[in-house]
Amino acid sequence: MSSRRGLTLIELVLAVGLFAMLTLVVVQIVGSTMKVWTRAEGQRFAIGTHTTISSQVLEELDQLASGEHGDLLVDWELFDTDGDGIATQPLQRVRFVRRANSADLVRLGLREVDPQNPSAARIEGGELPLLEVFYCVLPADRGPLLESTPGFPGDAVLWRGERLLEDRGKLSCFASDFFVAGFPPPGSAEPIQGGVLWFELQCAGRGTDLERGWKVGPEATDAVRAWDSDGGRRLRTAVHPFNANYSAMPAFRGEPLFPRRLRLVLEVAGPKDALACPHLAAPLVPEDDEMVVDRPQNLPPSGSLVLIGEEWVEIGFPGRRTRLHRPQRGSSIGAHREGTPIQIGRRFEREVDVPLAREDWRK
Amino acid sequence: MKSLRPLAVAHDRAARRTARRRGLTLIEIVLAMGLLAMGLTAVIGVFSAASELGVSARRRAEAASALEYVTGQVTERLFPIDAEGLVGEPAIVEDEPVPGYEGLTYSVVPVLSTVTPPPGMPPVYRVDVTVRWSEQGRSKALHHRMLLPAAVSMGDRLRRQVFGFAPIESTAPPEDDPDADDGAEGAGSQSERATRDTTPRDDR
Repeated sequence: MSSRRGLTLIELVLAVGLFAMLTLVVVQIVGSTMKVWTRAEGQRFAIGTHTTISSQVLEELDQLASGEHGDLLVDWELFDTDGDGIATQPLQRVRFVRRANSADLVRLGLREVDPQNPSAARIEGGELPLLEVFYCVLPADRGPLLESTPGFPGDAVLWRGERLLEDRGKLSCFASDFFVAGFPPPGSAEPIQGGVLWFELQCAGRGTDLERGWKVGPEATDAVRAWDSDGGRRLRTAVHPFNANYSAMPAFRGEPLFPRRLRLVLEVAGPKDALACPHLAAPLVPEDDEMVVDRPQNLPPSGSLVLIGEEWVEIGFPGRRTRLHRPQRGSSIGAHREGTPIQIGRRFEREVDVPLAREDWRK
Repeated sequence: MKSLRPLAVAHDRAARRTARRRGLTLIEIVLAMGLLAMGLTAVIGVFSAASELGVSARRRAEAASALEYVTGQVTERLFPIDAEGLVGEPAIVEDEPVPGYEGLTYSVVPVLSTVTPPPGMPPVYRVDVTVRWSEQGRSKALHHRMLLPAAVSMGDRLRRQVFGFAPIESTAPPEDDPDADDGAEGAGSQSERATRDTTPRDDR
């Protein structure tokens, strides 16, 4: 009879307590696993994506063509990325002429490849032709390029287009009417990468002092965010102050004036980042100098830049109520609704020398 | 006596049952908890390692970017020039902070290359650039080796003259040339002689 007496209340309570503690530990372990996994996956995605994009862009810039056809134009256009009908976010575009390589020739149909003997491919015409290339960052789901990758409000896509310099059937990307309201003609470009939060090519001129790192500014010893190898005549500061010409730019004498070094600053958000990003827990008006967020533990460290709608802000000590320095990166201060995602990118920088930068120091 | 046997058997069974249900001793509980703690420590250690791997990947990407910056600086500023415009001995740098990159340091070690340059060309230096950082108390490094002619371009000469840019400053005494047969003094003088013979060149 005693062997079938069952459990006492204390034993039951102890068993349930132990089970609860074990469950708690297991849940915490699973939670930590997911967190570590998500973070590692985000890092892997970010490093892979940034490396791929920066390598592609910088390798093309490494082949800049000089001479009478050589050209480089880096400028900024304002876009409406959050759909409020007001364009306040500056996005960069880069246009240049470079010498085509063998992969370009195959892609453009200028190199006949014999499937029986691929190594004996021949080039039509002899000399390697010149190629016009442009990169531009455009809002994700607006404008004539509707096949773009949909994303967050404020999300943007990096596009790339090209044209043989001798192809008279296509409009040159340097033509004043090529970009209409900032958008290239449909069919002239293809999307490279979605989720682009920031794409910035910084240029070091002949007097830029890089001894203490890269500093962008108006002085001759600073780097600049815009460049016109034609001497600066095509830069429109009326559109945005970022289009200011390099202050120590020499006079144009028929040869393109290239910067001596270029640095690409890139921030791309991964698909998993959208799940973890915090949101505004209360509306943010232009007068506010702090924001209320729903997941403060997911905010980046103090001093980081985050994107809210079209506005970049620098965050102070992260917490549920976080102090802000706004606006940053040339964006405009604005009002943001409750629930607006706070987008966090991982900053990535690469740089390259411009081998054909001929320095003209004549007055 | 025979009639009492079933009672004795029943007593033995009850005693055995009592012994089986006596519970766990303190030592058994401590051992079990110790084993559990060791298991949990191992599991947490795995998470910690995974997290460190993520941080390590990020730091490596930063170091790669910093290495590009440092090699750019070294290319422009490794060699000093004197008042006559002659190229001097290259700088040696030991663990100086990389500007703009928190927690990263760089070292530059130039050594005169054994390759004889063509007539009229400056001697060539083999330059080892290293970017270092620390992870969990362990030192990590990225290395890059390049060959640089002992020359300062026209643009860099003008930058120093017009904007007052300075060459990279040495932070360590010159190292012995391991490729030289005649000792440290001989290597230094050989290097100096080769550099001093160089006509200033404009490579841009």
